[in-house]
Amino acid sequence: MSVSGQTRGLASLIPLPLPPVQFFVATLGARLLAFDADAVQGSLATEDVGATGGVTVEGILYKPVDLMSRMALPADADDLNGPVLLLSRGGLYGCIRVGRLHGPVEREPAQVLPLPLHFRGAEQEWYRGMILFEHSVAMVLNSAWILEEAKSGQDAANVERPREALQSVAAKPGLVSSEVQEC
Amino acid sequence: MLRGWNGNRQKRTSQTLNLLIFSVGGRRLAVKTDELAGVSEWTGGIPVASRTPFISSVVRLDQAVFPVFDLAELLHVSVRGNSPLCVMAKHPQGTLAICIDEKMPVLHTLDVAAVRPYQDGILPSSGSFSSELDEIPILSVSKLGVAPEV
Repeated sequence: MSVSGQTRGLASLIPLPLPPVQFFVATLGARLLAFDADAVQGSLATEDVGATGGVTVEGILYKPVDLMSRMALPADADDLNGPVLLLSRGGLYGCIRVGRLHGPVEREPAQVLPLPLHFRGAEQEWYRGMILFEHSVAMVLNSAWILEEAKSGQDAANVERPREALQSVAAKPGLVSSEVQEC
Repeated sequence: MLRGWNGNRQKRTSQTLNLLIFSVGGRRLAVKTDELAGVSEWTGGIPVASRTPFISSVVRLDQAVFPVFDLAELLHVSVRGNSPLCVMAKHPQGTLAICIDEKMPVLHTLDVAAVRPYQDGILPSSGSFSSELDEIPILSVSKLGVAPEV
């Protein structure tokens, strides 16, 4: 066997490390929730968004997603004036007002803990795991489930929008677009 | 003969049950010690949005996270004391945390013959026994969260 052949053989035995996973942790209804960073397109400050919820950024309509009622979260005064997260996945766009955005966190894939099997209700679809956050635990939300609510009527609303338009908005949180229009 | 002798020994050693007696909202309950993973101080539950009855929080112990079964809610009582305790119970689906009263649990050895059938329609149990004036149900940990408690 050649030297190069041996190298290839060894390489095939060594598992490649999986890249870390990034989340944005936010408080909503006094619960810590972790959003997939891949789905987070940006955040808007409270003053840039009206109370009605939906926003249009560079021609992309982000429909309001009411996680509070879908998850029956208790009302928390902090949630009224917090920032709005812009989410996108699979051609769906939604925005969620959160109480507080704690910022990005990075975890190794092994640090994303599975949802305990004891949870056997609808929450099995809501969460795709848990991560340790500070001295607490944040539940990792399933982005596909979150954006289900934004599905109705959105295809038509954003059908003419070029993909590039979204890319320009896709700077990670901290972004406050100058082209925000309240729906 | 050897077989018979072994059989007798097994019978003799299975005559007793080792239990931990604790209380929730002042109501005394028991759990088999072989279904216990430990008892510690209650560090507080972290609320989790959930539709699973009686499981709507988790506890974090160091780097591990455990679901909490709200036994007090099931029994329609409130945990007593300013320093509640945490029972870690071995459940087939993984360890469960249960918040209990601050009153210190006690170990108790019971003759299996003293165990009686028990059914109150609420608490999953594997029987009960009399202690002083109380009828103490023996909690069936494996049935928590799977029995039709509601």
